[in-house]
Amino acid sequence: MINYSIKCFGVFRQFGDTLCVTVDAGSSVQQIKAALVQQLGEQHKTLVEESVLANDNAILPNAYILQEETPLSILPPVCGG
Amino acid sequence: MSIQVFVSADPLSLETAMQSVIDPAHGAIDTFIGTVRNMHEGKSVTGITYDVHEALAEKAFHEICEEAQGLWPDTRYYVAHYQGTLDVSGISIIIAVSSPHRAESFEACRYVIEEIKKRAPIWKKEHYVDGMSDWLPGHSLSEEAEHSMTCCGHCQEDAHG
Repeated sequence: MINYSIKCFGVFRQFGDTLCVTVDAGSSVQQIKAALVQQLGEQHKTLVEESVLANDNAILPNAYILQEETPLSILPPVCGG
Repeated sequence: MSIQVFVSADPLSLETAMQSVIDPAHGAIDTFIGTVRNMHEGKSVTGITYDVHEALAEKAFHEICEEAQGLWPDTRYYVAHYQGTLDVSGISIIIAVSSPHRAESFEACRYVIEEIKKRAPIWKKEHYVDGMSDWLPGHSLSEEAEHSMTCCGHCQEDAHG
């Protein structure tokens, strides 16, 4: 099992600065998002599905496999400018 | 440098933007300045807090400017976005584009702001006169994620198109 610390941005800040989830090693981004829904509640499922996970360098596709502990961020829909 | 991009917690400067793109071979500088509006969907706004993923926002700005340079060659770019809380009329973003002739700078500047709104990891929390605040809805980055050029080499499927 691996613990991921996920930094919150935008509307996710209602849950604090970071969220922590524990998933099996070799889990995909999609599986980490599913664990987040389980933790936050089904009422936040659409928000999590519309959001993306990122590491410090790039936004990650849902099929991306994470092999080791790494800092992540969750990015809800954007509205800069 | 023909592309300069920043996220800043300091007030943004139009003079800095113009000086960054000025070029003796260029006869035009187009600028876009985004400011905080005092009204949104019938609610009186007192200010906006801008939340930014700094590293990925600057990366997105740079990628967008590179794309624009591909579409309008021989153009120079400056993009600065504010991070933090601004009152009404505060400057949230400055984009400056220079080019040999005016048409390219107008078009490229429009391209950059429209793409930033869709692709840069930035969020707005509006503050209202009644003391309430709301995070504004936006554009999902899901499409960006599925077209990410980063590959772990262990994807479950051909996820990178």
